[in-house]
Amino acid sequence: MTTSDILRMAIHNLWRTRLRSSLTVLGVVIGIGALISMVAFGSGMEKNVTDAFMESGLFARITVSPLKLDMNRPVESLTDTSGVSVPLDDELLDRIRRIKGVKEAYGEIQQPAKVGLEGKETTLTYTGVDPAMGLKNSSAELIAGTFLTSDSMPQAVINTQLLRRLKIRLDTEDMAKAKEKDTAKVYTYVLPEDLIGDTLWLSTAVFNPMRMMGALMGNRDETPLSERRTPLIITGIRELEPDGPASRFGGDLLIPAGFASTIPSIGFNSITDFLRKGKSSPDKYAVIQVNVAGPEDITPVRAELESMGLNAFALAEQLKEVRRAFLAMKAVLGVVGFIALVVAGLGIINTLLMSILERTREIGIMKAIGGSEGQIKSVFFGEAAVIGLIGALGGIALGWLVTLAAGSFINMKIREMGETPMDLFYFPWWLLLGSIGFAIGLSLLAGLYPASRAARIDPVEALRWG
Amino acid sequence: MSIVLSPSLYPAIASFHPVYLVCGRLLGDDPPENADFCPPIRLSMSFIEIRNLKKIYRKSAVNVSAVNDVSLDIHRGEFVAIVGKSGSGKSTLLNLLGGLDTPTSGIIRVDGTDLAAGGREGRVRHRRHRVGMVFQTFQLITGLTAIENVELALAFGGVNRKDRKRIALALLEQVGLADRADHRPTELSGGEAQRVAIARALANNPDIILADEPTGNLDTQNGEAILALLQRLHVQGRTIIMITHDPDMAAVAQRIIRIQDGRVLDETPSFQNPQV
Ligand SMILES: Nc1ncnc2c1ncn2[C@@H]1O[C@H](COP(=O)(O)OP(=O)(O)O)[C@@H](O)[C@H]1O
Ligand SMILES: [Mg+2]
Repeated sequence: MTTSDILRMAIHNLWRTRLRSSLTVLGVVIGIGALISMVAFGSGMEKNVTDAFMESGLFARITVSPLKLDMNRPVESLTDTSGVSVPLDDELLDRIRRIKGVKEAYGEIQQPAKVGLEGKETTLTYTGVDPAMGLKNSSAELIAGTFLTSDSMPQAVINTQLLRRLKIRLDTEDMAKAKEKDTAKVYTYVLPEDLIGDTLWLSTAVFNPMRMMGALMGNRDETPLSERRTPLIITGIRELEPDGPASRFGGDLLIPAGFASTIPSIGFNSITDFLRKGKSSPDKYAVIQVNVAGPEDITPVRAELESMGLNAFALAEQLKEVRRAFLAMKAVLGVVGFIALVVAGLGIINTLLMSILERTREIGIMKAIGGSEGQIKSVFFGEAAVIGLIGALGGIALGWLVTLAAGSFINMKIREMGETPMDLFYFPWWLLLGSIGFAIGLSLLAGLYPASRAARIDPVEALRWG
Repeated sequence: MSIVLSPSLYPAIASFHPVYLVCGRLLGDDPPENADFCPPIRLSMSFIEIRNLKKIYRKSAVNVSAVNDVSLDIHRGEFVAIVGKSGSGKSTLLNLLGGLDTPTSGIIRVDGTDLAAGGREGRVRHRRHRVGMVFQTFQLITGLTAIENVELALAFGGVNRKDRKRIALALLEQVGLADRADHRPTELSGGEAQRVAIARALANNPDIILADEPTGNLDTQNGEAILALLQRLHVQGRTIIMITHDPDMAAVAQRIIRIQDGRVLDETPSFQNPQV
């Protein structure tokens, strides 16, 4: 008997008991469907994160910050950075630009502040960037206006993330529905073009020695800080993936580095300055952004920067961790699907055992006319394999339909909430091939015991059944 | 020269001189003329050699000796009928000869080869190529058509798909059922079903046909047709061992072996001329 004989016989036998066979196959279909939609969900989530990451250009970026914070060191020595860290200034920037593999490097000033726009307020950390670096270093596209044009002008480039936090929504067609639903008028709706040229207020905290006196005198209402408001003109709005990795980088509010250095403020660096009792900070920049030529340069450049006594952070290296986390997530989801498949496997065992019971006489006949134990085994294995194969194909179809339905339902809700829809599920080729292989493997495993039981049937006993 | 001898003496005679058995009578050196009418058997030492065969079934502390110390010699091309009361052990003996069952003790040799020597695989080969079995209840697979039943036996025998169709059809033609090839067993009469079963038994061209009451479920007319078919297979040179209750059926055989309580009671050559 050839494999094709066995498969034809299997299909024939399964067809004879089609109701039972299809119920058994349905068990496998549901098991495989559950497994692949779960894993497809995990893969989809991972793909969204990694794709956004890849598109953002952040895979080629290293962020350099001044010193490694060592929490075990006493506070006094924490402030003493001399000999521990290299100051983040233009001289260091030049040195970094000369490292092999570095494409470009620029300094960023980061300060915490409060911003006000259209009568609304939020707090953030603004970033002073070199306007000459242009858009290529920003992680998202401009949807309105232009990038910063001058290093010394009070300009600002904001992004959709900042607008979201200010409860300002860009008035687009997609918004119509959300606008209707927003009966409490939580949001303000504006056209992107209308924001260009508007004034954005930046409030920074400054150290006020006069108030310090008052505070020390016991006046509880007095704090040694006061607020300074700086007006900025909005030149552009950037689009940003809602929860993409890019949102954490590049900054929600970009202002020219030259102008930023003139804004009086008290930030983390200044607090360190304060603790140092007047010694001025050697750091000109909060961070230095380094772009390398290619992904393969990340590790050597980062090592070089660290050997210079700097703290270098590369998201690309973090991505490995992210992938590992997603692997764990997919494994957990896979286990749920796997349990469904184990149940399906028990269904296969049950079906085959029942079929053997019914076909005992037939097995006796097969032996009497020259069927070997191996051939009889393969007849039942064939049936198990066909159940597995049809179940896997059906399961893939089911999984695809379920994810399609779930995806469009969730995206419908997302659209209603005024967010951008996304692909929630992803079917990598290994998942499809793997699930087919897995279903057949599982079915054969389930067929193991019934098949060997069929082969061991005593033909003399079996023939008496007729 | 023509003598009548007890079949138990055949091997002894054959061992020192070639002799032919025609219609139960021993003939001289030359093969006889009227071969079509009553096929001659060249007596050999023994084609099927059964020695001290026992099959004991243990049934809740009671031992049933279904076959109890049977020794027999069956010659190549012989037509043997086995008769005996129900429960006397006939079927058990036939199943042992067919390699469907294994003896508790004793030996079966076919053409000089011990059936037990080949183990499980040897028994499969024996069932597949050496013997064809025919049963009282036909034992056709109901889910398959007539031709598919025959083809299955060919498939087990390793015949490729193209040849299978052709051979199966030729076999059905041989039993006169070519026009019923695509019928299911449920759509066939008893006689037709048994003819399909015979066609299937012939699938891998065995030289031994073992028939367990092949006419037991058939009316006289159909029974006679089946018997005629077996006789034709006999003429073709096959060794036939047939269990029967019917004395008229047994009478066509060259030798009748009577079994009682698992033992051979006696053996009598049949003197009636078989009608082919
Ligand atoms: N599997 C078995 N277990 C126990 N006893 C059996 C079994 N098969 C046959 N027997 C017994 O062996 C004896 C011979 O049976 P069988 O060969 O079928 O007789 P026959 O074919 O001559 O009617 C009977 O007494 C029967 O009850
Ligand atoms: Mg019987």
